[in-house]
Amino acid sequence: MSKKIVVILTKPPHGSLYPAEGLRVAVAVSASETKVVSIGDSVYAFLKETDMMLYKHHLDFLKETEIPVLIDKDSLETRGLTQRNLVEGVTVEEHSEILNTMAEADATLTF
Amino acid sequence: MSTIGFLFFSGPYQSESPETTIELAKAALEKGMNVKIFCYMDAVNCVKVGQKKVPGVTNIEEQFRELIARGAEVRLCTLCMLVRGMLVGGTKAFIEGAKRAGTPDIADIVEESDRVLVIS
Repeated sequence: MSKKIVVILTKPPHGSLYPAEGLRVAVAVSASETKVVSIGDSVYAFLKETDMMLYKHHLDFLKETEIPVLIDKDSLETRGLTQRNLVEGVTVEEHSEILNTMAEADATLTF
Repeated sequence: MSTIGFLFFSGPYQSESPETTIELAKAALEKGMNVKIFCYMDAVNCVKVGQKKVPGVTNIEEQFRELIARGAEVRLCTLCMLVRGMLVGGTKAFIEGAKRAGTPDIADIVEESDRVLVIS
């Protein structure tokens, strides 16, 4: 039985390659039951205005294959952002739900 | 026999993350566990050949050679090596026994391991 994998993005898309690499790995492990969680400054990776050249194809793949990309509502709100600022295809979730998602995982891969 | 996987991100000689990874891997090997390490991003620099020996500083190349000799499996992100110019000299650029790999290997390691540790 395949494992539940949660790829946790924590770092910003500018000044680091971590969100791009995390999404690349999410694609690579997508044969398993995979979810992507975005917390902290990584939420900036999903703003409409953000240059996604390095990872848009990964994000498109995740969307097409219905792999959830969950954005932490608390992280958005503390940065003055809402769902309206985000690209389509990602889901804003309450912090408690984000924690539940992580807790239910067999493996968490943090970027 | 249980298996522990490492997703390892850090290059050598900047923080103690490589030493932490090495010590945890050694402890797992001593307990009879299988050890699988995926070197991602700057961590591929940990297995470059020719690292200078400096008294008082852990030589990361030697430590990784020892881990491999003791049975640890070390896989290297090929794209990460390519962008860092590590494939110019072919396999001689990195230590013998470490294997070129790709992100699908991370999926394999997760499936094959009882626990996966991420060390950045």
